Amino acid sequence: MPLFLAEKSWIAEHLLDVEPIAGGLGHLGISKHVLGMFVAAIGLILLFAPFGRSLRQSPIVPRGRVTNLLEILLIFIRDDITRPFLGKAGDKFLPVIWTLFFFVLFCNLIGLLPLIPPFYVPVVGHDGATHWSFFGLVTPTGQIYVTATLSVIAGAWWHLLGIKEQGLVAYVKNIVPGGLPLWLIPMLFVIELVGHVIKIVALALRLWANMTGGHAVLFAALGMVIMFGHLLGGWMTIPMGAVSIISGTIVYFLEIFVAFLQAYVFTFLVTVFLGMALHPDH
Amino acid sequence: MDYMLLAEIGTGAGLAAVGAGLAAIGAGLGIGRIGGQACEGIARQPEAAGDIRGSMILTAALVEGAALFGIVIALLFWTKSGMGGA
Repeated sequence: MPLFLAEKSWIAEHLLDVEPIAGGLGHLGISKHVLGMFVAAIGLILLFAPFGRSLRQSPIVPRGRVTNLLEILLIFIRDDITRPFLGKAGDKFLPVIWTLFFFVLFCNLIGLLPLIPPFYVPVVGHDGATHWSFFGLVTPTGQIYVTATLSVIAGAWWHLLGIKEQGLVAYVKNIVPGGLPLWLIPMLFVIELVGHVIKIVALALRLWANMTGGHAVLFAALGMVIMFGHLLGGWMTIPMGAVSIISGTIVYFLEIFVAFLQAYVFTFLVTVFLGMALHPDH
Repeated sequence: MDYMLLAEIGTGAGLAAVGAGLAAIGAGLGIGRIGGQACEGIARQPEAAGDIRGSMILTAALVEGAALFGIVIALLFWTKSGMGGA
């Protein structure tokens, strides 16, 4: 009985622990998650800067294989997400929406990189001692603070754009649907404001929960070997090893799909809310 | 070992697990219904299959988000019981 308590939830330790990198501005606390975000940002710049340069040389038809691949994704976002909700005039919001999509996508995908031996980073443990920790398997978007920051930035962005588009007074008046009896308006105003806040919170929470939950299932699948190997002597290790590796691989493929899907859903909802802020349909 | 403490820890973590299971039931019901209606729509109009499939995946992700809110609460209470957590 004390066996399971003594293992002290290594799943939660892998998922929810944040350890600062040694020497990384001391207690300013640059963790592996922040390092992952920097890697995602540098990857974005490295991937898209040549794209822009080659577009300048042949403006309508992009040349090269990577350029064409990126073009598929970019045009998919433009035609299926932005144009239906924002119209052709919404093309000026496309750089932000593209950046949001690819940043969330890269952050999600970094969490799926397996252990890569050259990329070790020195990490300060909880007891203050420095030890080497691997760089892979840390999802930046698996920290609620990262997704909350992304969501709050996007929320401030669409609210400010809505206020700039309609003017402050008209925006506040449009928070409540029109044509209501007078005694209903204060209550509905509060409810709509709470709705606005909840939309932002739900965006952050959905992305974080999908990433963290997926990794929790993956660790549980892989950890079946350890947990069941202790029982009944050690003979269950090999069969449980086969089961856990197969189920772990299947969950891995699902995780890749969920990474793409959650980036798409995040971008889609930001675009929908932006459309609602710019042109309230009530 | 203090058995009253073990009982309390076990109850807290166990109820969190029950909550997570209920959230999974909600997700299964919702997404199953979405899948079923999408298949009916494709059966009625096979040329709209691409559109229907895209809408189905998007709606499934949104419903799954709602179920994951329940999982998040369960995770919170599991870490707050004595059994695990960071």
